[in-house]
Amino acid sequence: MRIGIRQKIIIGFSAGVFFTILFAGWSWFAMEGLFSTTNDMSVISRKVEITGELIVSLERLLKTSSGYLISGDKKKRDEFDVVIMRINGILKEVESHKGDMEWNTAAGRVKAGILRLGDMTLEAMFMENPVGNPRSVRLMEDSTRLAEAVINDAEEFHRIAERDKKIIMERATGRMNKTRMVLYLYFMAGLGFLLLLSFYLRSYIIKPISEFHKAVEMIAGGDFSHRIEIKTNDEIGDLAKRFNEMAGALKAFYVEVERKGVEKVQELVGINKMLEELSTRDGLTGIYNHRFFYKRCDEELMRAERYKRPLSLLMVDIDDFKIYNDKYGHQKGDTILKVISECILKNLRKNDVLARYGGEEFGMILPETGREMALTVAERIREKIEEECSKELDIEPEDRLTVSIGVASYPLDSTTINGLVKTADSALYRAKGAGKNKVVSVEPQSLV
Amino acid sequence: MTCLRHSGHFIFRLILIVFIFLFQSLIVEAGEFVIIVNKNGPLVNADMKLIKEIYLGEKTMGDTVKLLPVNFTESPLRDSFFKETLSMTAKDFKRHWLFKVFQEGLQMPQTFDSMALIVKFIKENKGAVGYVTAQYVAYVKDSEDILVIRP
Repeated sequence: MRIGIRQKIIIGFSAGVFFTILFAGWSWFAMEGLFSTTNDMSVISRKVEITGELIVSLERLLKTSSGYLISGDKKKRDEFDVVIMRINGILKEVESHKGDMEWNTAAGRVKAGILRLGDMTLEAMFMENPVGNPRSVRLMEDSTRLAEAVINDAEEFHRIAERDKKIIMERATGRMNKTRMVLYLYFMAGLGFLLLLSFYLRSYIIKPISEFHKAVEMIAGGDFSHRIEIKTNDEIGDLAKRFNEMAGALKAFYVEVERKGVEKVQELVGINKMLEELSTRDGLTGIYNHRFFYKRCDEELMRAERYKRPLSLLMVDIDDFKIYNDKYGHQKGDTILKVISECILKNLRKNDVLARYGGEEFGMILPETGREMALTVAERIREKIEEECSKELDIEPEDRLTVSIGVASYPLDSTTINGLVKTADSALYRAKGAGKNKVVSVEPQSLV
Repeated sequence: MTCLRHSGHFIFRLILIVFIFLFQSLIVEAGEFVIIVNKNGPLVNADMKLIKEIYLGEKTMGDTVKLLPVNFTESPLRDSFFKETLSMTAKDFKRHWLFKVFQEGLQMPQTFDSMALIVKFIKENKGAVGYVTAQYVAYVKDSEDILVIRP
C-alpha cells in the first residue's frame, strides 16, 4: 500500500492534534482533581481545627460553672451566654461539613451532650450560696463527668477528621504520583514522537534532498552516469526514478552530441590540414612553395643565430628547361619538374627543406651544414639528377637532364636571408655562365 | 449668683451621672425598669405580649427588620424584668434559650453590662428592644431616638 508524503503529513499532524487534545483533556481533569484535593485538604484542615476549638469551648463552659461554684460570682452567669453562642457557632460549622454516617452520628451525640451539659451548668450556676455547699461539690463532679463524656465525643470528631485527613493525603499523594507518571509518559511519548519525526525528516526529506543536490551538481559537472539511490514508495521515490530516467536520457543525448562533435572536429582537422598543405605546398610537385621556403628560411636562420650554428642555402635551376618544354611540350616539362623534385628529396637529409622557388628553380635549406658539406650535398644531388633522372624520363639520349646549383652559407657569405638568397643566386648564374651542370659557391675555387 | 446656681446644678447632674454609671446595679435594686425601643422602628406600638414573644424568641421579624432583644447584665433590674414581663427566672430564661439556640438555631439575646451601651444599641438598630432603669432614662439627654414603653 502506497502512503505518500502528503498522507504521512496528514496522519502525523492528526496524531499530534489527537494526542494534544487527549493531553489537554487529561490535564484538565488532573488539574480539577488536584484542585479538588487541595479543597478537600483545606476543608479537612478546618475540620480538624474546629473540633479542637469545640473541645476548648466545652472546657471553657465547664470552667465557667466551676468558677461560679467555687467563687459564687454571679457575673459568671453572663459568660454562659457567650460560651453557649460560641459552642453553637462551632457546632453549626461542624454540621455544615458534610460527613459520613459516623461524623453525623458523632455530631448528634455531641449536640445532645452539650444540651445536657448546658442544662447542668445552668443548674450549677443558679445555685444560691454555692461556696462551701456540699451539693455544689456534687454538681461540679457531675458536670465534670458529663463534660468529659461530651469532650470524648467531640474528640471523636477530631479522630474522624484526622482519619479523613490521612485518607485525603493518601489520595492526594496517589493523584500526584499518577499525574507525575502520566506527565512522564507523555514527555517520553512526545520525545519519542519528535525523535521519530526528526528521523523521518532526515531519512525521507533532508537526505533525499541532499542526494538530489549532489546528483544535480554531478550532472551539471558532466557526470551523466550518476544515479540517485532512493527507492521509497512515495513522491520522492517517484521523483528520483524520473530524475534517473532524465539523467539516462541526458547521457544518451550527450554521447550522441559528443560523437557528432568528434566527427566534426576530425573533419575540421582534416580540412585545416588540407588547407595548410595547400597554403604551403606547390600544386605541381607537392614540395613546399616559395612562401613556405622563406618562412622556413627565417626560422632556420634564427635558430642558427641563437645556437651559433652554420646554415647553407642551395638554389637549383634546371639547365635548358625551355628547350625541353619546346621540344617535348609543357606536360613533359611538368613531369621533369616532378621527377627532379623527387630525386632531390631522395637525396636530402631528414631536416633539410626543399621548395619550389619559382619556374624551374628550386631552393634548399640545409640546417647545421657549413659550406663544405653543402657543396658535397649539392654535388651529390647534381650527380644523381644527371645519372638517374634522364633514365626515368622518356627523352632522347642527347637531351641529358642536368641542373646548376648555387651555394651560399651562413655566416660566411651573409647573415641575412636576402643576402644568402642573393649570394646563392649569384653563384647559380656563375655556374650557368661556366657551362652549366655545375655546383658553384661564392668563391671561384669552389667550382666543381 | 445665677452663674453659681447654674454651675451648682451642673455639678450635681455630673455627680449623679457618674454615680449612676458606677453603682447602677445598686440603683436598680429598687427594681423599677422601663422598656425602650427605637423610635423609628416597628416596635413603637408594641404591647407587653409582643415584648414577651420577642424575648422568648417566638417572634424574630418585625416588618422588614430583624427583632433584637437585649439584656442587661446579671442584676436585680434584669431579674425584675424577667419576673414581671416574662414571668420567669433568669435560670428559666437561660434554659429556654439554651434549647432555642441548639434546637432552632436562634441567636441568644445579647447581654450588655452598661445601660449606656443598651441605649446606644437601640439607637443603632430599628428592631432593637431593651430595658433600663427609669432614673437612667430621665438623665439621658439625647433620648430622642428611643421610645419608652412602660410596663
